[in-house]
Amino acid sequence: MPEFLGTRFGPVVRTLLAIVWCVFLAALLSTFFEASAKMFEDVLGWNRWVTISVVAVLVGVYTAGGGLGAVVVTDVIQCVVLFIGGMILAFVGLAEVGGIDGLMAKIDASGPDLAHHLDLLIPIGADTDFPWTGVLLGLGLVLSPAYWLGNQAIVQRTLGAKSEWDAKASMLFGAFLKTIVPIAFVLPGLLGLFLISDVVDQDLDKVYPLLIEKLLPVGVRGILYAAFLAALMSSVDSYANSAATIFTRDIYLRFFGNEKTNPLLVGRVTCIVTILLGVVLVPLVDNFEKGIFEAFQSYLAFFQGPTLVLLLAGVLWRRASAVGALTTLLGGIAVSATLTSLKVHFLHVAFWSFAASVVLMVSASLLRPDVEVAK
Amino acid sequence: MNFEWLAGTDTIIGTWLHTMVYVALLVWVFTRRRAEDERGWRDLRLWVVPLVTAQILLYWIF
Repeated sequence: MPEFLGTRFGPVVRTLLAIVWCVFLAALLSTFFEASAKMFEDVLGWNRWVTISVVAVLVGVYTAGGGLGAVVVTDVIQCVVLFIGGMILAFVGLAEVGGIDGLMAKIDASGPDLAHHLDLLIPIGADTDFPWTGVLLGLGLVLSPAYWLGNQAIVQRTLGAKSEWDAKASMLFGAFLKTIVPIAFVLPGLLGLFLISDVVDQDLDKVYPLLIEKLLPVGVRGILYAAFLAALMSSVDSYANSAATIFTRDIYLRFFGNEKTNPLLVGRVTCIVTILLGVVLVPLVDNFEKGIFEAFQSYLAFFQGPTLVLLLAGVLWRRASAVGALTTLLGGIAVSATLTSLKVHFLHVAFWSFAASVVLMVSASLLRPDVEVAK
Repeated sequence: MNFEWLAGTDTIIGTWLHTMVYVALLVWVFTRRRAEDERGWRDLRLWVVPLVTAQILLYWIF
């Protein structure tokens, strides 16, 4: 992404974007490490830092050694295990509460607190972490498109497809898998409300692993833990690989490279350093009251609005200028930081920083057009 | 900034807006580069329809 936007908007934007991506990829890695630590801490009694170290070493070895090819192959296997495992948990859990009718009856009987737990869109006034304006404007219009169109980890894998048709088909297949997510991963969370309500009250991040422990017999349980770990590892390997690519191509080779530089070695070292940085940043995740999902989305909300505007303007608007892009990137992230400090909901932060970035891009590009366009 | 002024409004507004986004997506997919696309089952535009329809239905059902 920085390379493409650098070609469009110049070297300063490329460098800044590369730095932003590397920092946030490391921060995002920390959320995955925290999730793996919580699972093994409660279920297997492993020490938090032992778990994180084991996951970091495992992922580091095959990602640094095998690169994007290894990441894609392991991700395909992990995806199959993950979805089969998730479906097993959902159906066993549903049987436990008396089927979908039993679940709905329990929700209805639980009073107003759980009134909207089967609704996709929840009113603003309700006591919710996901108001429908945030889901539509923040998640639907900004974070999701930014993730699928402009996230380095996704774009890098898509560009690795053997043809344009395969790349498009993989996106559609990804969208299909996303429609299964509510059954395989959201439904078990809902079942946790009734099957392990004491855990839900204490720590939302522990619901899924403890549901596995409660509902499934030995053997199947192991497969599910493998599935859970697979999901985390597939994210860690993708992000570490992406950070390595960005740092090597957009920073190291441009500023420190010469004819003797081995890009593969730089990439491998960067991959390991990024994973280590992710481990160091794990304690920051504890600052988020609502758990790992909020931490992950909040990190993304911080910079995805401005970068999506850069991408869209770069592709769709001929008059978008280098000064406009630089202003958008710096100003958009400043808006995100300000709104976050004012306690604006993170999904709304994504939307407002996107809106502010559009204004900044248009006004700065018109005021300071590129020399070629001005001529 | 948190859209407090919309508090108390029916979520049907949100459902309609989501639907409009998906319809816009469908229109966009079906109106571009028709001649250059693949024929038969390899025409990926055909695969977009059930996916988008399922998403719209989910918003209306739940």
